[in-house]
Amino acid sequence: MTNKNIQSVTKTLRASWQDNVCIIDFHDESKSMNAFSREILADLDAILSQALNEQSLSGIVFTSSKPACFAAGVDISIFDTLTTQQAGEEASAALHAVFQKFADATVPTVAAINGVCLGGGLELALACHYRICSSHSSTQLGLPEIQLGLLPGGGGTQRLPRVIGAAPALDLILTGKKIDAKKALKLGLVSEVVPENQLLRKAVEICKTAKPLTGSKKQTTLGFLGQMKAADVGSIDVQKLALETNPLGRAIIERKTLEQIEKNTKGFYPAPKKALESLIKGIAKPLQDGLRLESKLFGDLVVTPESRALIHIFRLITAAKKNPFHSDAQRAAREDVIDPLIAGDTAVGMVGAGLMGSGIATVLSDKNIRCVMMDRDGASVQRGLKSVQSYFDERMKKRRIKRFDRDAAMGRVLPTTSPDSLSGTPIIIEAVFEDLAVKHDLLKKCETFVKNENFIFASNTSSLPISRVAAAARKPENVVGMHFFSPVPKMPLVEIITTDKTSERAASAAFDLAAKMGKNIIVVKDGPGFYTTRILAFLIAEALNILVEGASIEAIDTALERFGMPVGPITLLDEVGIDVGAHIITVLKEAFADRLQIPAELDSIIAEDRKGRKNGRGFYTYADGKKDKPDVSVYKHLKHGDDRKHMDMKEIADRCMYVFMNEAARCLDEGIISSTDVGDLGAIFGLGFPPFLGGPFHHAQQLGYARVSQTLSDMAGKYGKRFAPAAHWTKSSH
Amino acid sequence: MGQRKQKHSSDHSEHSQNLPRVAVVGAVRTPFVRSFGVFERETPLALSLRPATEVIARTGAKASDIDECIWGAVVPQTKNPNIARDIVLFAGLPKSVAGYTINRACASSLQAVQLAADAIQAGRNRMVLAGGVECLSDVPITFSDEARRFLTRLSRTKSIRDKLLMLSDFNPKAFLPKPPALAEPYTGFTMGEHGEQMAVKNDISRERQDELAMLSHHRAAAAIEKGFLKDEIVPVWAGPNRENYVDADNLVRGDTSLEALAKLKPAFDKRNGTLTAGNSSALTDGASAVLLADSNYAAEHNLPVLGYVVDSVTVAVDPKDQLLIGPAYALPKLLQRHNLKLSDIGVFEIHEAFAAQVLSCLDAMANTRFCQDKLGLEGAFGVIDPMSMNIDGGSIAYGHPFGATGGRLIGRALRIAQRIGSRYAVVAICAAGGMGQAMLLETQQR
Repeated sequence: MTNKNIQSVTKTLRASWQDNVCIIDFHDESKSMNAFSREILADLDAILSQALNEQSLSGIVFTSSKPACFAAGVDISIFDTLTTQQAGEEASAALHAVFQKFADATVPTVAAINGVCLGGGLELALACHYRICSSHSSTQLGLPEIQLGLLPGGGGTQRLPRVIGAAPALDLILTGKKIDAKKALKLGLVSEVVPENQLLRKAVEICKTAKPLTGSKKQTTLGFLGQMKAADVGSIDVQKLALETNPLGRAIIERKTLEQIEKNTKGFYPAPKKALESLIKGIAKPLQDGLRLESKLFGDLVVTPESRALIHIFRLITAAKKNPFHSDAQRAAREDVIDPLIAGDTAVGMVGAGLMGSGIATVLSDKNIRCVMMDRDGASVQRGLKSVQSYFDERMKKRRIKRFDRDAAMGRVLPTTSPDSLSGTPIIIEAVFEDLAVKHDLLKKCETFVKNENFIFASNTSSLPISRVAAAARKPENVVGMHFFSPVPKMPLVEIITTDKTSERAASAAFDLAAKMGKNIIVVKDGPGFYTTRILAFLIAEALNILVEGASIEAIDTALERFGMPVGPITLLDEVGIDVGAHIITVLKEAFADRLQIPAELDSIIAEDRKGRKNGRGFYTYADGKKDKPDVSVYKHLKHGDDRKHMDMKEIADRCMYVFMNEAARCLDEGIISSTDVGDLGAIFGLGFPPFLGGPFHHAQQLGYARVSQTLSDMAGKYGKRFAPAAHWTKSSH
Repeated sequence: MGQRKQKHSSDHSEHSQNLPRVAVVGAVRTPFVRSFGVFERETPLALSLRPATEVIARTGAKASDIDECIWGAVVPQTKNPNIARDIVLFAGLPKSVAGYTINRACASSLQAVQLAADAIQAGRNRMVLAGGVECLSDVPITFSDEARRFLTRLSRTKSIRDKLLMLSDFNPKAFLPKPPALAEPYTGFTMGEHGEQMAVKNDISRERQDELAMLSHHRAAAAIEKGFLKDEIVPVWAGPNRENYVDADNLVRGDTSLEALAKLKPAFDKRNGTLTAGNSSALTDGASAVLLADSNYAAEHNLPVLGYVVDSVTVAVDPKDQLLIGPAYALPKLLQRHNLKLSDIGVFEIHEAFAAQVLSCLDAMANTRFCQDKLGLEGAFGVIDPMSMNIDGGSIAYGHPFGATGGRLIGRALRIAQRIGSRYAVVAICAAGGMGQAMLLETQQR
């Protein structure tokens, strides 16, 4: 009905008119997700200006016709350009300026949300007068900036609390969690939830009937809020409206939240504190002042090493999602293995129903993949089944799933003691005892019972070289390593190990299956301990060396926790099992006899039947299954006995981490890992390397390779060959 | 052996050679256990999932090539009225597999297999999953009709005042739950009472009944001992924590004796009856599954073949006469239709609801008068050699989960036939409603 023709320079925004309502449709066809680049923001700014200039304009709807994505936030590449505090502050202010146009419009502005609406996407929506969203399952709202070590810099810390209240806003901002449409409505974040096919109609209707929020109705300070909803902030209980509307109340929220932040971040992450400051101080001010504060604090955060490290990790995760194998191999793997599994046509053969096996079965079932879970006798299968059952029972108790979901999840796990039941499977994952003979025996059995002679045999060993497992295979090209981490449902990494003979088809199948299981994946070459086990073994061995030299158990664990590790190495050894750890170290000792140093005293500790947590006897004492105090009776086996020496915490941490980083670099030298990115991803998600340091290689880069190399040389002189700098540190100095 | 009278059957076997054959690719079952015992916490769906998924896993069949799932369940299901489709969905099988549930009383899974065979023979289906279940431990307990009417009226009443008025009319007695009776609705008699009537009518002595029961237990125990059931049974991990590992039937009593059986009191006619808990099949929980495929498809896909379904005959008689006499009609008809003599059949799996009922059927087939009057034969049909009947024991020993027995008998019949090298096997089941069904199976490849 109109010739008001508004063009998009970037072709990502399409303005159309319905009656006198301008509908701006964000749809970037060149990308899988809509994200705001500088160009798109400039484009949006221009389009808005033109629309607002139209005399007949009666409303603006911002929406997206892209399936399952409204706007995922700001394009991550922008952060590369924000190298100074000032640049960060200006970028935030620029974002504010564009979004402010939605707020200042004299006609109603409506965000009509279908699909993910995150970060800058939600901040744009918050600037609009009205927000509605679709009931589609893809609709998810959130401000995940905290996960990048940032705060929401597009008005999120100011507008969100003004819309839903301070406590629920803090909950969303400090966790970065996503909420669905139902929760968004409950929080008052959106005013309507409608079926996706009615979304646009409803938005246009609002433009025609509702009033713009102007003057006194405009969001200024928190005071006007009529119907704030209470919510939890971490463990803090329900906040009362009264708390938020007066300075004293806000001070209480601030104090309690700070305590919670301290507890969760242990002081390693600056972003939550800054986000809290921005929100609490900002809501006491007029909106524009609050936004200025937000910009300043955003600028502070954008240059922190923590944020750089977290953005680095975000990139690693994104890059690691891409299947690296040849497209023909990928297609073959999909056709033979992955597609039939997804269709329910066949099942994964999970052999071994222990902790790992049942964990893998749990995740497979959770992701709608059937699996045959086999173990040698009824009792072993029972333990595995019970563990799968309790996972889904727990989810049901927490109301994450319904009873029928649980029953169907259990229905997808087919328990068996008979290898007959493996006959139709295209892929076996084995998690049987870590003994080559046992694995060879199983491989032979599978070759007898599995009908598809090209079935894939994925070994979930943590230390045995895959090539030795494959040595007994009729078709070694189908043998691949698939190293899961315990507990499988929680640990986000899978290490895929290829031998010289592993086909790309087999590796690709393992990759796609792990991806389907929602894991981050690193692909590494075969070798003793592959990548993760190997570098961890060096770390733990070093911790034991330090222990033998005279340090106390708690000093070592505390030193590494202060470095940022989630648990200290001695505690970790207790958790993994001292017997298991010792077995792995022994296997690796064979391969790295030249440098891997293990204290002989370990043998006498093992001889005392100390297995760690599982038998309640380790380096720590255990009471009711919980870790208690360091077990000082261990010291009688060590030099200095009960008279532990004081050792410098920094020195302890450095020795452990430098040997760890150095061994990681050796893995790179040897081609076990293909890049520093793989090394960083594996260490963070497999071993709990501190995310705020970005991984061993990112961390070394921050320190400077030259300095790392020098420190290692010094340590090599003092402590031994294991510290002799890897070639990588000098080869590619940064 | 009686003379054939029906002309139309003479060329049936030649005709059937042109049709695709129906291969039994796999037949497995859960352990059969006494109801209200180790499967107390199970549901018919949970029990059914075990053999349904396992028969696919063990044979390596491609699940998406299954066209249909047909399941038998006798006691009405309220949680999963169409349990067949729910098996597909809850097992995570391809959603493209359709499913329907049938009820032909105790012959339900036999009928399910026949329906599968029909669809395969007609070329409509390539592969069909058939089976059946009964979990008497989980039967729906209903309210009386009076209570039901009260509740539905209450829910339709709008105003609070009317609701309160209705409640003043409330009769608490009507709300006593009504356990389902295993009775014949048309006659009002329970199955046991019908068995008792047959024992009287055919003059079947207590001793003969106990002898058959003992033989059933001894043979079953021997078969278990020799490991003959190993590939038939899939274990169940029962209970909320899966703590009950059940990998064997629990009703078989290898140590039973005539003396022990003789001590038991009559179960149905407490005064003068001859049927006891010992010579009747017990209330049982269990599920069975049979995977069937077009024989050409089975060969192409390298699927194992236990044998072939050839044909079946269903009969029905007046329930007020002899409710469970059906097999005595169905079995002769089936053999006549295929030009087979009793001596051609090496394996008979005759369902033992009650020893009295089995013996009534056997006597009837050997009785000239019965065969002339009821079957239209010139003389007696013949005597089934006890050595070829229920060779590994029968339902009195194993138990009888109504919907699952047919699947068990087919699997057992074919495995025995393979073991002893018999070309043909016959399965026959009596069913409530005066029905009977007999199925002809063949092991030999053509």
